[in-house]
Amino acid sequence: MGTAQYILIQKISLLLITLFPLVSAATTCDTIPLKVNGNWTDKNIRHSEHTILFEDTLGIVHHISLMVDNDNIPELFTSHIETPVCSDSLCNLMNIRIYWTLSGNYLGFDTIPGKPLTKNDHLNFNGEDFQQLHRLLCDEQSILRRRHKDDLFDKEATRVSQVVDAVTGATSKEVKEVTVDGAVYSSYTIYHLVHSQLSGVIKRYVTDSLLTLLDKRLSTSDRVDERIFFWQQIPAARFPQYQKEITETIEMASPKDRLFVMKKTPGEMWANPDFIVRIAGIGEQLDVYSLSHFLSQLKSTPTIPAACLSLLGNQMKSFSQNQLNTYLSLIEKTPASLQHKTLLEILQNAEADTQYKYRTIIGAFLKNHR
Amino acid sequence: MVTYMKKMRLLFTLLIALLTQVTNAQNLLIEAESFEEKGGWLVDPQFVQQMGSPYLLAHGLGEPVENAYTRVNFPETGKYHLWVRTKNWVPGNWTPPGRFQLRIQDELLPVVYGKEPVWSWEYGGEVTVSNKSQKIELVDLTGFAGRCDAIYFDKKKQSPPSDVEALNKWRLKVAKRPADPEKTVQFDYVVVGGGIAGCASAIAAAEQGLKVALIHDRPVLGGNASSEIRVHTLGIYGHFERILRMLDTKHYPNGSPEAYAEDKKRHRNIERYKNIHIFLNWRANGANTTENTIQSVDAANTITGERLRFKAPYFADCTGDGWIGFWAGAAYMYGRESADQFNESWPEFGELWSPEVADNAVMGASVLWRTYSDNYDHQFPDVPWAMEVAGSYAARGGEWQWEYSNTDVHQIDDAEQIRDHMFRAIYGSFANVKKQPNTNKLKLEWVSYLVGKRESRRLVGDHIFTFNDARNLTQFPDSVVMERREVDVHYQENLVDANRPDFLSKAMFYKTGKYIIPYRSLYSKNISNLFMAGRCFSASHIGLGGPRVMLTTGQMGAAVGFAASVCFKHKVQPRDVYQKYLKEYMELIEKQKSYQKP
Repeated sequence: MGTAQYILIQKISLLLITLFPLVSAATTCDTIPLKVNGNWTDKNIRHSEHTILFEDTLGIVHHISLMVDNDNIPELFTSHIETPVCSDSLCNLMNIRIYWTLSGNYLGFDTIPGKPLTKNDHLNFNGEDFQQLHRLLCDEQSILRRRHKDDLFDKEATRVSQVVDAVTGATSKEVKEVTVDGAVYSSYTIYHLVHSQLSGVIKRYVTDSLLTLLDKRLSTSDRVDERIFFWQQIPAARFPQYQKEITETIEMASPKDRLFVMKKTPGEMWANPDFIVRIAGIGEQLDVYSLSHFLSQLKSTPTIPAACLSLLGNQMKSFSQNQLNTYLSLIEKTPASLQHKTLLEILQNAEADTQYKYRTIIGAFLKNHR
Repeated sequence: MVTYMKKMRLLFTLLIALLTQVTNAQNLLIEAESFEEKGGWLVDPQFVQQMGSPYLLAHGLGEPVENAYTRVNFPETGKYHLWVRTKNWVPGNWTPPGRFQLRIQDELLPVVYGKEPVWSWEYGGEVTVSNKSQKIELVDLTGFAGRCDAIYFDKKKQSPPSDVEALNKWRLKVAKRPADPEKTVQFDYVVVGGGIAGCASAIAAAEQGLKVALIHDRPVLGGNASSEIRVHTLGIYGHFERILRMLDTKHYPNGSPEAYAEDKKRHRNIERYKNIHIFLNWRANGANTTENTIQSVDAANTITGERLRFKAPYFADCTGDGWIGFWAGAAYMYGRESADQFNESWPEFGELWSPEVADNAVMGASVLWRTYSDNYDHQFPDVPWAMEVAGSYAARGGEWQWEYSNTDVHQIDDAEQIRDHMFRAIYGSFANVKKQPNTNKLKLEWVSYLVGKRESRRLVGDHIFTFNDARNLTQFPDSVVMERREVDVHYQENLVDANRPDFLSKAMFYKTGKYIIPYRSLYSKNISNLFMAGRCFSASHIGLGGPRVMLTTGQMGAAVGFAASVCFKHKVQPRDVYQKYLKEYMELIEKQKSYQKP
């Protein structure tokens, strides 16, 4: 056992499970029994006939279903997971329904009717426990990711179960902070299934079997992880076809993903005045990583439109000193831009603003270029 | 103003004046770092290559430091225009934190310095000097990192140059000094950088009989392990346990004052070697190279400004930042290579580990700090200038996770900015804690003012050590360094969650077995007589992740020290050791396990 493999079967007929609870679920974990959270769409969704069968490292076969909307457009993946959760001396079965986006990212979870999630001593999860589990599963870089199961507990300290004749280790402090109190093994087991094994299976399935069909669905998705997944999969040479979608992604993404997209964006797009003006227009939303990258990228742009420099100039007061120096060098390499009335006013106002920390730098720049 | 000095005091002052004051008929330049008494001000030479000079730093953790003073001899009495080279290290809509004033003799001058956002000569107005001999004091007003590079008096109202290159030339001209150091010293082997790698290298070479110069820009050896930065040594000893035990630390928490005892041990051990000539407070500033061979390295004393030229057949770059290689024109790398360049991707962490497209991101630098609970109450001032960085984050101390890096800052070119950013993070986070209940007795104990770097330039050798060498446990015939520590690469938390503070990092670990670093990663591929040891050895960004800790870098140092001795014996270059004398070299390395010093 242990070699992961997945098999696509297309034999399950339409289950047509309308997920009203999901749709109306608001987006909090308070709605019982649904604990799902995340960017849920206001659509009716049903199971499609596409199912992935996957045998995990414990030899358990998981059925992962693709769910589609009324137009048969793939929306997400789900699976009812039934897995043993074992410590040295205790063993329980855990039942939970997990949802993933089309990029294999965790989206949410739900309980299975009649099979509540339980903690030590058979206590049921409460509202805060659901929230905590969701927070944990949302964290792709949780410390659990790099922990071995044997390292979850401080072996020096122990606690005694009130119900079971067993002694368990005390949870180490940093593990306790991220797991559900009293359900450390459950948290650990489900985290690794959701993030490592099953997520990888979904990614591979989408890449191998669905990517060509999901071009529009992924590139225009409301879920940024799906967009990023798409930009990862296609070659940079195709990026120019998606100028609008890429700009939107840059607005939506985390600093890490934003930087990834901007770095992968090919030179021809950075030479496109429309594109760079668009990016300059969302400059306020850029973080330090992507703003610095953008400014640096513009250094090799042959002609920078004055509109781009003006838009950036409007954000100048939030620039770091390095960013400001780069920005001024861009103006320098586009001397005609200093004839641009708006840009000149921006610089002069900055110089005159006694509250602006780098006004003397602007002053020296204007003096040199008068 | 009245001048009254005892004879001995006068003699001493004259000696200092010879070293530190540069006078012409019309002007007087005083380098702050060479003040006769530093008071509570500290000499900070970390950023010489960026801003031009060591400077004095008022590092009082929020309490104004004791005045620094010196005595000077003006060329003549009369009126002088006054400039002070300084910087407002946190420009913004608040009163600058690094403010200070000058006192000349007994008169406190009204001008407050530390106003301009870049290093510049701030004008102090006209002063009347009624007596040629004067006492000049720096009066710190805040305890929050005020800084003074130099003070200049001139009869004419003409400020010195601001541009660093022009300023450096101007300094030489005013001092009437030639471009090259006046004095040359000759050694068999010159090691630049007195961290653990440099110390180990000096010892190894010295034990083989070489006359070694060990140049270090701090008053204490140890680098990141010293009491000035206080990172404990990690890793394994490999072949060199005997040497490295002279230099290592206990596994105390990072930031622990136990580092002082380890400093003493380290100095005691290394000072026993009579053929190691230790140059403390000397900072290298150039490598003179012809036909891809370094002829000499220049260095200046960070306090007196004295300059020396170090000649030797072999050099080791243990500077961490790869400065000697950089000056000599050695090939080097900086930033993250693309995942494809060395086939280093790891899907577990994707872009965070190794990016699809290369970039200039590197692991960041840390500034460690500690607090303690006193028996008395202590106030901590408001620090509005820190809150933009700290936000609402509150903390009582900073460990390795206090780390700063992003694509806007370069770990070498912007090191001062990085250190200052960490100051804001620290003081702001501590101010937030002090607003919490039951913290009235809490006090800052120690904040490092040195940047504890993880990664900067990596010089390129005949072999580039990569992630694959670690995960595949690649075996090499020249296996001189070994490690079993995980490949440990950091990323900034705010890359993943923009709401997290920008000064905190997380680690990614890839567990491995015992891997090997070959000798060929420890000499430059294009500078014929240059070794390197420490974080500037030949590695990819990910390859550096495991062996960047100090016992491993210490192994590198020892390995190149022994290699230098083989080179010296046969009058050959580092590459020849691998190509022609590998058997002899490896036997020498093997012997270290059982070697007993005579």
